[in-house]
Amino acid sequence: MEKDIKFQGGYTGKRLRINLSLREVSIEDVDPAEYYQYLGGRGMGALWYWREIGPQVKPLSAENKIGFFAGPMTGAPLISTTKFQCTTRGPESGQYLCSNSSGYFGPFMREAGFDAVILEGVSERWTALVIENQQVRFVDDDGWQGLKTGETRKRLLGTLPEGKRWATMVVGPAAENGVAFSSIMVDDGRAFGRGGAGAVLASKRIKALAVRGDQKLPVFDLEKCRAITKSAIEFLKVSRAKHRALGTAQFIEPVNALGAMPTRNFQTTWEEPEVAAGVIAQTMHDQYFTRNYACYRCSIACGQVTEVKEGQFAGAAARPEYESVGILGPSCGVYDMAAVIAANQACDELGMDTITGGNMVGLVMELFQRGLVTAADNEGLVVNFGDGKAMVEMLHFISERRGLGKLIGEGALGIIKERPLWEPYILHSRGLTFAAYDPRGFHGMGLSYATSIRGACHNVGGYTVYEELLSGKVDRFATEGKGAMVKSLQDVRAYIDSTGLCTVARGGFGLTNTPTSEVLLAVTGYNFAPRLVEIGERIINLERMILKREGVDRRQDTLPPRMREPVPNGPTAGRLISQEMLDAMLDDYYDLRGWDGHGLPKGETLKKFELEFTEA
Amino acid sequence: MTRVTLRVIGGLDLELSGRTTMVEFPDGAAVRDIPAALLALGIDCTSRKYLVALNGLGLNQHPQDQALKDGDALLAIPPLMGG
Repeated sequence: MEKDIKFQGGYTGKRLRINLSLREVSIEDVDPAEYYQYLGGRGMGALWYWREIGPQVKPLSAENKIGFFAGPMTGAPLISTTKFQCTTRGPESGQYLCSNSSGYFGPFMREAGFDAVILEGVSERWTALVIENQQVRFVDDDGWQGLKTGETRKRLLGTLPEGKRWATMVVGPAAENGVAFSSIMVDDGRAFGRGGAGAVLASKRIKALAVRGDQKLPVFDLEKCRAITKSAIEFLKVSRAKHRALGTAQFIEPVNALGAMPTRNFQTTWEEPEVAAGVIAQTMHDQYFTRNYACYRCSIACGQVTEVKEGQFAGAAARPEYESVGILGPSCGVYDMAAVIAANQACDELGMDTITGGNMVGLVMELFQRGLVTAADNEGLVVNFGDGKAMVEMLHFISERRGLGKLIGEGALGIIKERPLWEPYILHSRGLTFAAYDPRGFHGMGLSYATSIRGACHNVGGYTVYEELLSGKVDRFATEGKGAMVKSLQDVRAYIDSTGLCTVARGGFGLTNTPTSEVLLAVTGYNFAPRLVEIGERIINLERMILKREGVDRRQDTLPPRMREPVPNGPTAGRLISQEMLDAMLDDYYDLRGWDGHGLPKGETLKKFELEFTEA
Repeated sequence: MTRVTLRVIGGLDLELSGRTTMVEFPDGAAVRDIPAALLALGIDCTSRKYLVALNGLGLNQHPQDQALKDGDALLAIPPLMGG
């Protein structure tokens, strides 16, 4: 039986555990049977979480743990093998958090000899962890406190031996101040953005980590890897032609044209093209682009490094992605790309998720618009839609927990608890705020947000936008067929997040909803392809059981009240998602998943995926 | 003649990129006639490089024999994907 499998590549088979309270380090062996069932990355993170983070654990308590998990392709000699996962109990939702990042840390963690690094306990002093091959040391220094992320990285690298490159993860002041949506910045521009993983690290007095190593990742068939890489590069040259040129921000203009762009805190879904032109990718490229940025081993290099050279935001520099532009731009009524870049930079330097950071500024703007708050509530700072300068200042207020930022930094659920009358203006599902796609423009995204394992997320929940335009069976305003669409996208995303490959590149490797790719065979010596979707579905069911243990069922698979209001203007004027429409999509989705009407996996479903151990 | 607007956006590598153009179809033209007309303008509807929508819906989400009318709007965009 293949559960006795010994992989011939792709895994180091080792996990590093650091007890921060006792300052003890241990190296554990990982049972290959677990990789067989859960692949790596997100799957292994979920299994670990089930075993080690119980339902009573609070996100910022000493009992919480945080793990970083690579997949078999992380660091493999292919392309775009840059991704790794962060798993913890996150403060933004108060629940299980899975988060995915690019950068060099994941691959270098593997070169240090580890498929995973786990942190538990709390350090007595503020410290940075340095991992070099299998050695760990602590760099204690109270001076870490208060440093922005760029300063932290520079200071950390300055303490490290020269020679081979180091990879880093750092948190900023927002995390130190407990902002529920604070991020972990990975290397010099990538992030575990969503869900507040930064605050978890900071709660353990971990300011930064650095890693490097000189172990070669074992690979089963290097020649096959090279051949697959060559073919992937050719494929991606065509299908991702614009990613290099314009980055993901290329979608701003089309999504606005289709009437699905969050505008003024999702009050509408569209702006006149002449106005929206201020924040489209071509504008960013023509006026602010300086160079491309590539993640580890990536031939696409979609990162767009931008810099503002003049005006009130002169000196600002960032790498805005679609989400950051959408939420810091149109959703805040801001159509000045320089302001968006400055706000993106502020989020990066303070260590905050650009999506929730921007959504929270949008909330503040709407509160001012409606006269529900005044300058006196915000230390004199008035934040109106369209005011880019105030937007940047408000992000600082949130990080510093000043003025309205004191409450806003609690995140959606914390705000609603304190100010229930503000709930209509907060766009979230299960605590995570919406991505830059208004579901009234693509109804499948409504189901995606409502059922996303970590709360409203266009990636984890399933990116339906493309499918909803391509499908020959249903269109974007239908509710029929969306259950199957979302399920399939979620299952695929779950296995992709477990491989270590960047999703932008996956088409080049044939990693689809019917994968036939031999890439995992080439890396590990085992042909995972026929089982990948099943593995993805297993992961989703395990994660749903984790959420069940944390009190989640259908009652939390919701959309905010604004989605039940008709779009007032633009290409999707009149569109809404009623509760009946959502219920129809949920019923369909649960049925296809083998879940009951409460949204909980049935016994036979758990048996199918060998998850009976979650029933207790 | 039936006049349909064509807007090409999202930074596509096309001569028409960033513009709104009028495309003329003979009277009685239907949705099924769109791909050939766009191919003549350099837009291959079957290519992985583009996604074409008519009146906000995917081309193949309209009945293929649906008659085109003045004021219909075509949109050519890059294939959308999450970031």
